[in-house]
Amino acid sequence: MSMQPHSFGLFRSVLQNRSNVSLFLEQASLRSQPLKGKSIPNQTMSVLGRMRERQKALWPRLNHDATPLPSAWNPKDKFNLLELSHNNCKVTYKGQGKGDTDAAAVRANAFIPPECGVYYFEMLVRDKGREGYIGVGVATSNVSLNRLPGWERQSWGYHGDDGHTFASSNTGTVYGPTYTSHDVVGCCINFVDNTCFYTKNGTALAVAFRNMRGKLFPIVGLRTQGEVVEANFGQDPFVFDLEGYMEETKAKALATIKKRTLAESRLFTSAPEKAFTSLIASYLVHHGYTETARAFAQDSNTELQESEESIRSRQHIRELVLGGQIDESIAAVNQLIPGLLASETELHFKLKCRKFIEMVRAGATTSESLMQIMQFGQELQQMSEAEQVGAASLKDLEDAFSLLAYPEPTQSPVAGLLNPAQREPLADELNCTMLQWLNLPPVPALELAVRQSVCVLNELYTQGVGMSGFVSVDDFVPESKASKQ
Amino acid sequence: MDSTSAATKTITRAEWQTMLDSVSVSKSSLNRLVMNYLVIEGYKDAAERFASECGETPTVDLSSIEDRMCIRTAVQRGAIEEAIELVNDLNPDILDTNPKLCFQLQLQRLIELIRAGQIDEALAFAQSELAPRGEEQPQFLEELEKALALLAFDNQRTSPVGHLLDLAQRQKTASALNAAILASQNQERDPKLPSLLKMLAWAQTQLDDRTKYPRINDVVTGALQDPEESATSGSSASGSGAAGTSNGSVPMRI
Repeated sequence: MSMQPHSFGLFRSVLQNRSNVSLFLEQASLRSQPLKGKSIPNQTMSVLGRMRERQKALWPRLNHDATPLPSAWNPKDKFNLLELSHNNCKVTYKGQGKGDTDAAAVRANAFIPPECGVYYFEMLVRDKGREGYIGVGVATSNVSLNRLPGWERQSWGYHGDDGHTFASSNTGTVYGPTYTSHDVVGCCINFVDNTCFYTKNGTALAVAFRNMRGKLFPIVGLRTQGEVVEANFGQDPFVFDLEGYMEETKAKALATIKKRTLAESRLFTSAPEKAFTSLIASYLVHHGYTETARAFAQDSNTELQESEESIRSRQHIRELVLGGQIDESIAAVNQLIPGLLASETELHFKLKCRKFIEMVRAGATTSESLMQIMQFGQELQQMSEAEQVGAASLKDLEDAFSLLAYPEPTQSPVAGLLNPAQREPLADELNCTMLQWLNLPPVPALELAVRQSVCVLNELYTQGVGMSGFVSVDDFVPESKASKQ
Repeated sequence: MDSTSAATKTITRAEWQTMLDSVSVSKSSLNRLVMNYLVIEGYKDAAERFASECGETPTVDLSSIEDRMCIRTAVQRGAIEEAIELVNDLNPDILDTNPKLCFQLQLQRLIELIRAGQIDEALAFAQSELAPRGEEQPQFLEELEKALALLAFDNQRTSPVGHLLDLAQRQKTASALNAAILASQNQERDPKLPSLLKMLAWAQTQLDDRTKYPRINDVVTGALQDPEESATSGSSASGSGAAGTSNGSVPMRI
């Protein structure tokens, strides 16, 4: 850090004075402006509430309760020559400022979770004071606060008086412009490539640091009398276009992935092209899209893992269940896979329960039909005892029976059972069981790949891998027409 | 977080399975993934049937697939000359402006001649059509040499270059050609599925460095590799979670 103040510093600060102050004030008055489509009702919201909203909008995937982002300077983590005010965002130097031993710094109240992908905060120099020996950056929790940012190991800073950067060293590197009163300086950490760059009055400067690691806290340091800075952790709109930068970073991350080659990805035992067609074919077979499967198998030279007839039967059984024709579905299962229902007693029982519900659904129009329902209910009761079905199935039976307790089952608390949508999980379960009996996977490999992707990404995110903040399975699945409007 | 102190974590099979089961995957998003693949890869017939069987509307007018489908099936049949003719009928610029693709097609033609046992024709074709291009581009020459190496083996299929005779090789060529046609029509040219798998591959590689977990080594079966070193029981095949029937408490959605 140079001890000589720039002779033209004052002149320049006068020049920039107007524009930057008005910029900052303008930004402040624009608080009611919507942020990227999400409007923030400001009148009634506290400063903290506004910050939270903005942070959630910028980092939607972050768990803001478990790993909160910095929201203010930490009064318990500052050197005693500093005074905090304005919700602990404003820092005023109160020391004598005679020498480097009078340097004083303060850390923010939280470290930056790397899974946020890109982190950013800004600082307005309210007053450069006597010399403007101001430094801003990041540091780990153990770095001495009696030093300016960057001077110590695990500390990185950009200094206003000479425009130099300091990366864990007493010696600065020529980096960017100086900054002084009324300038807004931003610090951006990119956890995708572990770099850091600064902005001045909204303009990005070059990369300042690389290989940034550890639990990093925003930090600011002052060193001479009269110096005052105020941080913006998101309570106000940033001067820099952070949304644009984040979009750009995301696009780069996705492009990096798409550029990879599949040949050596440890995901295939044969040619990837063959795997694609096989994944598609097995998916079509699984869900019983018979005609599609046949057309696809033919045009792609892919072999289906199940006979067309069998696929068609499963599809037919599924349709019967979805149509509430339970007896017919049971007969069809017995024909396709004799012995299945005799062994899978729970499933068999569930189907019977569903039949009971369907009978109630059809309505007891005559006393005769009511008798039939009752009779079948008793049969079910006997079956539950004979087969010693599990607790869950017994609960199903109870629920089904309770339908009879109401004169208007459709108005009863258990009316949900009558909803035809309830047939779908049963149809799915029956389908899975049939597939297992046919020695086919119960979950299609395509779906397993998607599930695996979600879990691996989630684990990377939990472990704070920066790039995972920008990658989600949604980016690799075509949008639905509905969500496109 | 601290890279120095992070001891290697292990996630057991059971823990992982619980996580897998808790993911909610909507059938319609998988259907869209399939439809997107069928449309972009030019499987017109399948795309039409899929639209009627699952109700998923295709993203483009299916009639525009027709030409691409004819060209694709020609390549997949091994009728490369026919495919080249069809592409040139559609738009001669496609091959004119794409020497790499052009070479790939000619190479496939050579492979088909070798497959058919037309050795003399194959050699003549290689010398007249392919070798001059190979001289211009060293990487082309390498590919050409590999293909001609097929002739050196009695049993071509089991030879080190036998994969060239796989149907997957035709599929690869067909996909490259298909992508070039789509690009010439300013249409989305890459189906989502390969990118999704690239992402899975990337994510698994990233996690490999940090954690022992049940990874997928063969996406076609989806079988999970046991993370525990003492690999006890053999492969019990794919995950056993009930498809689509995940419980209500779901942290992740797609």
